[in-house]
Amino acid sequence: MNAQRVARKSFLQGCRDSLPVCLTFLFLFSSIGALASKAGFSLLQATAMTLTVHAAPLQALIVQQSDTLGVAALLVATVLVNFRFVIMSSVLAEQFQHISLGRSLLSAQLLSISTFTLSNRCSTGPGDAYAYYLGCGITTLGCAIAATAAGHLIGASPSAQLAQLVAIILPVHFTALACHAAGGNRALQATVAGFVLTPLIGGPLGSLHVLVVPLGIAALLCAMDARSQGDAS
Amino acid sequence: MNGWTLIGTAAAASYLMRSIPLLVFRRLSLRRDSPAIRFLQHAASAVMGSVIYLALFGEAFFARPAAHLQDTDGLLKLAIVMFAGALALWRRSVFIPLIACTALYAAALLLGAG
Repeated sequence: MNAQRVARKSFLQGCRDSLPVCLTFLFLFSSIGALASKAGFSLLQATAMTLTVHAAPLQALIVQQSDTLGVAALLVATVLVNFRFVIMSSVLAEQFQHISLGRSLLSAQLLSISTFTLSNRCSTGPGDAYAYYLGCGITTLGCAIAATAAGHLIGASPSAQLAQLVAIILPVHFTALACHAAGGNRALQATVAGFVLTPLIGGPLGSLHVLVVPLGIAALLCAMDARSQGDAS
Repeated sequence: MNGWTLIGTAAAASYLMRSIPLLVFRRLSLRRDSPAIRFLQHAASAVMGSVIYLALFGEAFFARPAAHLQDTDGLLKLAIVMFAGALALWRRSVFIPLIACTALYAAALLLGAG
């Protein structure tokens, strides 16, 4: 099979695999669209925000606190809420080193927790990982923009029970993906540790848990890796 | 700040956080098993755990972690996610746990367990 066909197949696979994420995004971003409408953002502003910010927690913060947020507060919030993008982008940069800088920078906007999780899972497979990432990213971002516009136009959030049901899809999907992540047992250990330590560190340190939990766990597991290598040699 | 300034500031900062590592790691030729890459892989997996936790519970239990065990809906969500993990490892599938656990949670909500 030639490279173009592999890339096309991987792209379509990425589109298909991101459908559960799209279902969640449909509800998540329609809620953000409805909130944006109530907060006085125009349809163009709401959809432009989803296209350019592409991070639901930060968007929710912006629309809910648009009257009180200053530049410094917004920048600090962005760094804290979106710090995980730095880690995820670093991992993907290593995987996509063969892609030209221009294409990498253009597709950087497609990076989200969902696209990273899906792409990182298939990074060791036989397909074209970059085409797969594009398939996931274009599908989910397109769905997020459409849902934001729909939410803004309709101006209503889903019912509480439906929202509760939809809210379980993302964690269940991510849990299943984490169980298949590249990296085997260590990756699973890091995921479980991240899950357990988030409330324990988040209590005393607040938003700083976004930085402290992943970096602390990574340092600990690297030390354990080094120790087990030392014992083996 | 007006709406466009807020959006522009957040967009620029978010894009920089996504793109700077692409520029930095392009200049470093690191092997996949190098300590720096392993560190980032571990950190990314820990982020996943964090995201799963926050998607389930938000920050509601940060001040009182023991309250997880007193909240029926919290315990139900925790059980569903653990079942999803076990099912994913057993069946080597993403789709089966997704459908089974969502259906299970929907049934529990209908029966009023949540």
